[in-house]
Amino acid sequence: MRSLIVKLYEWLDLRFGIRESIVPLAQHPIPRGATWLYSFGSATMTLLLLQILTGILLAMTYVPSANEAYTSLEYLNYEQPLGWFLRAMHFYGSSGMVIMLLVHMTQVFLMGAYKYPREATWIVGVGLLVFTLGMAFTGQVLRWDQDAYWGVGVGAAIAGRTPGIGPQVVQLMLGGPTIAAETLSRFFAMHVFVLPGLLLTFLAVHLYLVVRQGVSTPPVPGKSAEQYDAEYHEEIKRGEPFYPDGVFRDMVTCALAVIVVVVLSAWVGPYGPNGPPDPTLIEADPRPDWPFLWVFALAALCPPSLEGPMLLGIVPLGITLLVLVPIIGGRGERSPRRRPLAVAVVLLVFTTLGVLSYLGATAPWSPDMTGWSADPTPVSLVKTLSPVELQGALVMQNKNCRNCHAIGGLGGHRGPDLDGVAVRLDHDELVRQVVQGGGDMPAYGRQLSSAEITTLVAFLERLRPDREAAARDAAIPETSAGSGGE
Amino acid sequence: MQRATRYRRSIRQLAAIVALGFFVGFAGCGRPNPADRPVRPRDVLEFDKLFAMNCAGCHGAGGTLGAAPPLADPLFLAIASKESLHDTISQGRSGTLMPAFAIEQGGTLTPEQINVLIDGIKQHWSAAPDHSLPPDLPAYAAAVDGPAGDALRGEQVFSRACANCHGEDGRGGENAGDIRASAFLALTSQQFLRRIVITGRPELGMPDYRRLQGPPDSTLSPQDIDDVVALLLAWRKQALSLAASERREADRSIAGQPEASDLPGSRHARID
Repeated sequence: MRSLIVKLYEWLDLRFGIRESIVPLAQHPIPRGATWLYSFGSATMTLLLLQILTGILLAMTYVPSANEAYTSLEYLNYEQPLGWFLRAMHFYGSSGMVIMLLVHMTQVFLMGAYKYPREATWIVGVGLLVFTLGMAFTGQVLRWDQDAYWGVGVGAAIAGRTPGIGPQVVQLMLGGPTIAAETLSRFFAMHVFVLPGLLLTFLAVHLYLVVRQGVSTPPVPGKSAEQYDAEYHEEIKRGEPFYPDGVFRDMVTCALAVIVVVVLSAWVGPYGPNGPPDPTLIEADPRPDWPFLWVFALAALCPPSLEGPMLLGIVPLGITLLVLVPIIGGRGERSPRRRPLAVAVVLLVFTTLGVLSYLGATAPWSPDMTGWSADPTPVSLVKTLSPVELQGALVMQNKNCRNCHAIGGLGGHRGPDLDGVAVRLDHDELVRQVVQGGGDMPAYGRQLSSAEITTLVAFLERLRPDREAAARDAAIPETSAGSGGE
Repeated sequence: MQRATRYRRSIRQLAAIVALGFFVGFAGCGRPNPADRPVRPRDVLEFDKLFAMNCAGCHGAGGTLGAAPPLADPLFLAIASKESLHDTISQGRSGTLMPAFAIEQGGTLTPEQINVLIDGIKQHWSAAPDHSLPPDLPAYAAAVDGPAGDALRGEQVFSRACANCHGEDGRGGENAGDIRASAFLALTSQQFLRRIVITGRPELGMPDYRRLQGPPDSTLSPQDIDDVVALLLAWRKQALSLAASERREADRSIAGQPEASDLPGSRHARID
């Protein structure tokens, strides 16, 4: 038996040259001091392989048609044995891949590993980032729930702003002027054929470059990229072969990444599908998946005049800047200790993305469409109100004020919370604000009767903490007794 | 040799983590529960959810202690028939802030959902069988063919049964607020006033028509109820006509301004 296997191997080796290609690859020397930090790229690649595997299995059940996509996802979730687990793996695998990719990029950037002579590796890596995010976006659309529907809507609206050829771009993206059955087919083709093909091609080039250039030496302050390159061959001689230690480190990191995905999937379960993709549901509160929350926030918070340039410009600008990184800073110091600007840029970028993502996740600018009928007036307040003020509290609900204004923490947060509004505005100001609007608030004078305004303002005047004085017009001198006048 | 031992140990640790992962996996606590499926708002048929989404905002989280009159009130549920609840929910109460909820009225609830709400309200909050409500309860709606209430008699009833809290003239007293304010009366209907007179707002300290805490003679008879509601309606009429004349006055003083009331579908609002 053993001799049979050996014979078979030799037969294959003679024809394929296994030993000639694999052994040098496994034995290729890596510099001393290569640490666990060097294994994030492999972890990203492993998660990509996991995505391909789970993606193929999902595609065996998923139906890429607008009529049946949602149903087939529910079938996976509730009917097919372990279908839910598969969906969860694909979701957390995708999130993990994006995270590992960001970690890998950050590490390469901070250690200056992208510098001479490895600039091309970085630029191809930027391509990998773009395609991975493309996969994340198109994958989110295949979930074909309300998040997907509105996500495509926003994406198409952004694409439609392209100067000159906006309508054509939307046509290409959606397969028509509006989101319809063809839209899903297009995104399916992108997600399953186009992007994976590009991703794998770029990955092959990336890996070829990594092996060809060799793994970079850990940076030391005071040494330039050129010096490293000059000494690299000497350094490598004192290095060690990739197998076994380097391979072991990579494998442990990859295994941990996969384990985290498996445990999360089993523990938390699949994500979505959320509400059905029906544009008539006004209660929908769609959110993009987390890698795009920052764009969502940016779109919401941009002043209208900047929307077009910002939304259309930020992605090409970001990609251009990333491509320019090794071209501009491809020489000189590699150690982060000598590159404060690089460290500051990393901190700034991640802080910005973090804050924007947090805002996108909480989306205080979205009205709470059921606030008016679902969020009660705080009980402690109700107990103290007069008949007029009770009617005012009802006007507050009936006219949907609660959709944008919270009281006692309940309600929308598009407008200011009203818990202390009577401390800020006096009677006349409250009336004016309700009737004429102002800031982002529409004028409600035409929607309210005189009685409704009177009761509403009476109620609003009760909204202040007991200890705080009500707002008053500073132009009118206080006349009440005990107001310490001169 | 040392290296081999290290590998073996690491691999054993990893295997343990994998085994744990699989254990958690097959325990399947991440398995989605079909009960958590997203449901279209029109397909929701659980009373609790429907009430929380559509009614709690005004009537309070448990059907009581909201700004609007409580639904969790056994006396109210004893006098209000399912039909009247149905009409109120589907068509709203014109003149008040109760909106119409039926889809054909521009609302969001299907007939089925409205029935779930009515059954749920009755089932959850009606009086327990052993709870003693008097057998001869006043009618929920005023009799159409019966004798109308008399506002003059209503004044006597008011001073006997209501003035103690609401003040002799209804302008508010120590324990209760102003019920003559035109803004308040303008947003009420006859049915609303009648209901409050009968059931009170027990959760806010206003007693029902039986005045259980007061002297024995303070209970309101059906005639008393009709009369005091007539008084309130007279006040309401007064307040509304006064407001209308003030508004006309104000309109005349702003010559050349386009009339908001000329616009179709707009309710004129002016602040004096």
